[in-house]
Amino acid sequence: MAEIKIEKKKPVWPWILLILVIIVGVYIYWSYNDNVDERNVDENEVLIDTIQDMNDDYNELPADTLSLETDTTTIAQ
Amino acid sequence: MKNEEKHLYNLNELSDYKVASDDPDVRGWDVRDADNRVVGKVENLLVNKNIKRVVYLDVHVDKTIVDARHDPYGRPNNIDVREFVNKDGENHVIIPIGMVNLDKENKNVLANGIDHRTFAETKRYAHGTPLNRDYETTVLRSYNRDNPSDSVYEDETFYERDEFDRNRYTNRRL
Repeated sequence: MAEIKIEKKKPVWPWILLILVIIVGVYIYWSYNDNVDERNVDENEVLIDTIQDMNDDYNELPADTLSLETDTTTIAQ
Repeated sequence: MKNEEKHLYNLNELSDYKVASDDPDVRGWDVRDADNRVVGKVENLLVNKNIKRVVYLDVHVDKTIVDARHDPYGRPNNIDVREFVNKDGENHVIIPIGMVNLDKENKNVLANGIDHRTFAETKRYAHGTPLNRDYETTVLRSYNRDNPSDSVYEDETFYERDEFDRNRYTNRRL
């Protein structure tokens, strides 16, 4: 029998909205993770810099100061 | 051809409608006459939104139909001949959906009750021309020349005619 019915197409916009929500969610997730990594890196850099500064300060001390300290230690004993 | 109220739409122009998933989309299928000769190809589907069905197949007719150069059937006596004959470029014809069978396996539309001469003598139109009720009535009269309908249909019930229902049309012909 020749009968051809027609029907309304299902709307596409809910799918587009869902895809957009997923894209935004993924973007927010990755950008949050990037910030956490950057903060960790920053804290490590500060620690390294502090140690480096202390080492520099120590190395800049005059050589006799170092030996005096040794001598003092010896005297105290 | 002018339309007072549009009751026929080309399915292509209704972007929010499609052929129902249970039914075949016959666009591109060959149309065969009563003698199984190819008389054209389905180019578009003409639908009525109220009844949500395809009511006509818009057929791009074969060259053999155009070359037959028959005068259209049912030319009124009081009309200018030049207004009614099939002119160059008028190579489309409509077929009511109830007057065909669908051969889904071979993708053919079978117009079992319409022969080649009847097709050639049916008034055609140029692609893109809006259709009106006068043209539809003229075409139906041509196809039903041997078996005219007794019923009278108003504008609102036009697509309740037998020609749009395969079962009723077949019964009428028996």
